[in-house]
Amino acid sequence: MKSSAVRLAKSYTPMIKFVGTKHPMIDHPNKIIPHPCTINNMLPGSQDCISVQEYLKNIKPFVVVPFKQTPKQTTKGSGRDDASRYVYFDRPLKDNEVSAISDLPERFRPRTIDEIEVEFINNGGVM
Amino acid sequence: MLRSFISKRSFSISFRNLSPTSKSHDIVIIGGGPGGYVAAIKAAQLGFDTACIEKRGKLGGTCLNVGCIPSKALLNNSLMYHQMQHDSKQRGIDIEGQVKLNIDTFQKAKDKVVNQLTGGVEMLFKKNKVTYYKGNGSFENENVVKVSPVEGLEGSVKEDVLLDAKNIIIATGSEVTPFPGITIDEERIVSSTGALSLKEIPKRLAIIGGGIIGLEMGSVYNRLGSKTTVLEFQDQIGASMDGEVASSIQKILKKQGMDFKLSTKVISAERKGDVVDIVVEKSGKKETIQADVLLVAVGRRPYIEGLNAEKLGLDVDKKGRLVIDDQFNTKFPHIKVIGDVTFGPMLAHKAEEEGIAAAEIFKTGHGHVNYNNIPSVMYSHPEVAWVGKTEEQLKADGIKYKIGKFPFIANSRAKTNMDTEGFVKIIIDAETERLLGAHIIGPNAGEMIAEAGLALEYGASAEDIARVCHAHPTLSEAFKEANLAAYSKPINF
Repeated sequence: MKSSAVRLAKSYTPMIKFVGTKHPMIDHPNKIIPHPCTINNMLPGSQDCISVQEYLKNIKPFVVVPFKQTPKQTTKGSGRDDASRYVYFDRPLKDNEVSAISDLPERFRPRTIDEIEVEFINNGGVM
Repeated sequence: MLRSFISKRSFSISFRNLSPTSKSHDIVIIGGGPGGYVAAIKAAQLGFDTACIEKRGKLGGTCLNVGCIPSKALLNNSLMYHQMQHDSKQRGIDIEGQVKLNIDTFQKAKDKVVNQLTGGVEMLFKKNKVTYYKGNGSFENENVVKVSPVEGLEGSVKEDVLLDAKNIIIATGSEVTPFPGITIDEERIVSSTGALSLKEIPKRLAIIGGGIIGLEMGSVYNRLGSKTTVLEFQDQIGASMDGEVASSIQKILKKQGMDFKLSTKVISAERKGDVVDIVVEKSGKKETIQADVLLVAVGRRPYIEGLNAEKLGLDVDKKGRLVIDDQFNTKFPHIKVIGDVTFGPMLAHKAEEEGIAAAEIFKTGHGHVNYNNIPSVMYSHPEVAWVGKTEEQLKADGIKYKIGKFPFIANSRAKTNMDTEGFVKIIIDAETERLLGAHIIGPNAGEMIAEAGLALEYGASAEDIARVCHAHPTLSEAFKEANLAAYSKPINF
C-alpha cells in the first residue's frame, strides 16, 4: 500500500512556474570576461590596473601604536563614578601655530580622500 | 687528505641546512579564512591534494577570530543582559537584586566560542586530509609558494618550506582601514579588533563610521550602559541599506539610546590620558567631542602584505583589490583570487561561495556565484537583513516596481515574543510581479532573508511565495504576508 506522501506527490502539480527555460550552462570560451563586481570592466593587465609595488608604496600601513603616557597627558577618564573633565586653554595663537589641521598650508594637510573613496569607506568597504 | 675530507663533510652539512624543504600539492591556498578554508575543504572533497597556509596561528580568518563570530557572541549576550535588566518584569520574571555584568566572564564566553570554532575548522581539515601549514605564504614564482616561519607562532613551520603548486588560490582577506591622522592603540582608540576585547565598559563611546561594524559594536556597548555617539560623514547610516530601512533602523537605534551625528566630518582625534578628544566639523562649524573610547570603523581594505604578489607582476586596482576576471583568474589562469582581497562585497559568505566556485572551476571548468543574490545582515536588535535590489537602485535603473510591506506588530509570533519592532518590505517587478528585493527589519531577519534569497534565485513571483504554506505561528508568516501585500492584499493587516 503506497504511503499518503507518495500518493499526494503523484497527484500534485506545482503551481510555481519557473520563468524562462532551464538555466543555461555558461560556456567558458577563450574570451576573458570581466568579473561581475568590477568597476570599468577592469581585467588583469588593463590600463586601469596599478602594480602591487605602487599600491603598497602609497598606502599607510595599519599599525597599532601602544600609547605612551606623558606627564602632560594625565587627563583622567570618566569611569562610571567620575565626572568628565576637559582642560581648556584659552590663549591667542603664537607665530607658526594654527588651531586646526585644516588651517595648515595645503602641503602639510593630510591627503584628502576623493568622493568615490569616501563612499567606499563609509559603505563599510562594500561597493 | 684528512683535511680535504673534513672540509667536504662541512660543506655538505651546511648545504643541507640552507636548502628549504620542498613539497608538492595540487592546490595551495594562501589564507585560512572563510574563503580559504572552505575552498580547501571543497578542493579536498573533489579529490585534490590540498594545502592551506595561514599565518594567524588559527584558522577562520578575520571572521572567526576578530569579526563575525566574536561580535555575534557579544551581541547575543549583551542583548540578554539588556533584556534581563529592562524587559523581564513585563514578562512576569522578577529578578531579585541587581543584574550585573561580569566583563571577564563576558569576554571569556566570547573567547570560548571562538576557540571552539577555530578548533573545529582544524578538525575539518584533518577529516578532509587538507595539509595545514602555519606560516606566512608568499610567491617564489608562479608555481611555487614559500611558507616562512612566523616568529613567536606556536606550531609555525621551523624553516622555509617551498610548495610546488599546480594551482593556487589567494585568499588573504582584508585588514582595517586606518583613518588618516588617527593613531590606533587598541586601548582607547580602537579598531573593531580592539572593540571586541575592551577590558571595561566605556562610559562614553564614540564611533567613526555608521556602517554595519560601527552600528553593531555601538549596539553592544549601548546595551551595556555606554553613551554611544556615531559620527558619520554621509547623511544616512547603514552602508548599502535601502533608504527607508536605513532611516527606520536609525530611529529604532536612537530610541535605544544611541546618538547620531550625520553629515559630520571627523577632523582629528587624539588620546589624552584616559580620554580621547575628537574634533568634528558639520556645516562649517567645529565641535570637540570627548569620549572614553573611540572606535574607528571606516571600513576595511584588501590585505596583500607579505604575499610577494609584486614578484609575479599581479595587478591591483586603486583600492588594492587584486584584479581578476569572471573565473577568478589573475593574469595566470592557474592562480585564482577569492574573498575580501578582490572585487565584491567584503562578506564572509561571499568569500565562501567564491571558494567553492574556484575549487569547482579547477575540477570541472565550471563554477558560478550569483552576485545579485548575496544577502547582507546587520545583527543589531532588531536585526536588519536585505537581498536583491533597493528602491534607490531600481529608480536609478528606471525599473517600475511595486512594494508590499507588513509590520511585525501584526505578526502573531512577534506578539507572543513581545518583540514587534520592524517590518518586511518586498519589492517586485510591476509587470511580472517577480521578486526583485527583500528588506527586513525585525527579529530573526538574518534567518528569514534566506527564504528571500531562495525565492530570488528561482525567479519566484510574490504570488509564488505567498501561496507556499508557512507554519503558524512563525515570524516567517510576515514574509509571506508582505508578498501577499505586494501583489494583492495582506490578510492580517
